[in-house]
Amino acid sequence: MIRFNQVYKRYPNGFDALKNISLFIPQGSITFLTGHSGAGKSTLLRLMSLAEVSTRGQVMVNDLDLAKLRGNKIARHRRSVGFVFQDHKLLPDRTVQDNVALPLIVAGVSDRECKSRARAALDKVALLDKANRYPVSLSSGEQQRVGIARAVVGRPEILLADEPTGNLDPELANEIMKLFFMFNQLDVTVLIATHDTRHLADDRAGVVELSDGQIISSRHP
Amino acid sequence: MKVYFFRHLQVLFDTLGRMIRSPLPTFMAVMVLSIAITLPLLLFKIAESMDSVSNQWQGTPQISLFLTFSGVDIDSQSQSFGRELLGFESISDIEYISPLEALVDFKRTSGFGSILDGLPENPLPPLLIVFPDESLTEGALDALVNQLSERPEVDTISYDRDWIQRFSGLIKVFKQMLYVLAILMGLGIVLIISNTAHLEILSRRDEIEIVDQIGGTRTFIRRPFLYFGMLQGVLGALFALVLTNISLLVIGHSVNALAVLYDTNFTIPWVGLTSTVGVVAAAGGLGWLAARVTIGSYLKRLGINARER
Repeated sequence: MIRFNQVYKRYPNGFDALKNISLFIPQGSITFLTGHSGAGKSTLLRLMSLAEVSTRGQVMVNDLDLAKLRGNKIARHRRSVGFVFQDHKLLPDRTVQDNVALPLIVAGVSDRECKSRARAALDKVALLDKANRYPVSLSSGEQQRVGIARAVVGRPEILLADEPTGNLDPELANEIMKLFFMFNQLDVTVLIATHDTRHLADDRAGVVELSDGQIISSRHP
Repeated sequence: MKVYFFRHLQVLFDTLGRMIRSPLPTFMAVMVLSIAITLPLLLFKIAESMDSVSNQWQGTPQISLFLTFSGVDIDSQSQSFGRELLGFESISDIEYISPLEALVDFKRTSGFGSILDGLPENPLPPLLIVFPDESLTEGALDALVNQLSERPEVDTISYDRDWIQRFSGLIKVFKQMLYVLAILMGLGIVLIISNTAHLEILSRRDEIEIVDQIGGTRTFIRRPFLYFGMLQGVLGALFALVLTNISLLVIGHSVNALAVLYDTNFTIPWVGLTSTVGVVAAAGGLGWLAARVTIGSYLKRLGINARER
């Protein structure tokens, strides 16, 4: 469950990225955040992963007030949230399997379990055969699937994706979206920021439209 | 706990692997560090040896009495005076060197043998070397010297304490300069490692941000850089120990030859095990500290886990 109560975000340069956002996203749902560039989609996601903190208002994730988290609780919260980046953010000097295992290493999981869970996650995104390759040898779509495998390997309750299909052709974009719906069926709450309107018609997903930092429409499945 | 230690070992070997994979920059950085450590270490070893020589001299003060006796019974008169002095509580031993013994010794060491042979008579006076009691204070020693110098049998008195005091003073100044140099070099080590750690951080900036984003704690993010700093310090110290011992080997022969001329046993020993452990631990610790400060300030500047305390 994710709840935003009258949330504002102003950046140090004075830009108001979010203005009076109130939003409720139920557990196990899949929601698209849409809107023009600079509408506030990415900022909204970054508030949930605590990459940013709100200027005013309250962000609640699974009954946790994120503004009150300190110290290692921030890191622990981030481990419960999987994040998929538009530019994948893979480490070029590590194999695909090592990239996927990174959140487990960070969480102090044993080496054997890291390997087996990383391979299981790669199997889900159909990249097990490329586990020992380096990211540079993969296509953009494959790199994004590695990014998704890394985001889900820690079995997060929430999966956040910031323009995950931004750099992909329509066919690959559809494949990536299918993966998100697949993880959603495993009771993972999924939030996807996208300006690609082709996916919004899917009536299994909710849609929240932002403009200039404010919610201008929302639809629930 | 097993996983925790395994992860530490993994980071240690991963960091070592990274250093080996870029051999030239690693070698350059380690050599700069080792030179910075070698200089004070070498000077310290020299100061240590000089100190021990100074202590040796200070432990056995000697007073040389050149006597006024002459004539055929010069030896018996001198030895009789020596026996009288042995009765003093403040004198523990006396050594008599006759004019003949002194002449033979002088011929042997001075190289003026042929000139001395041409002299009509032995010009050297009889000599008594007085060994004062070791328990004497400086004041009591001065009193003894004054007492002996007033005796009519004594022509000239020579006491090398002033020279030893000057030598000790010089060593003291030398050691203080060494401490200042060691502190400056320590600061230099911190700055060198801080600089290389900063470059390492910049080259792994993306990794830091990703690890932060997926839930890595500050401790986890810092760990590879701390090992990096520590390894640089340790490797720098190990190279420095090799350089120092090689330098000691090179200058050792010349020092020994010089010491023989002064009739002393002055040698500079190799860096011992305790010093080796101390230098490696200190350099490793300084490396760790430098990396800790650098990565700490970098994370703070980036705002990573900004609310972590």
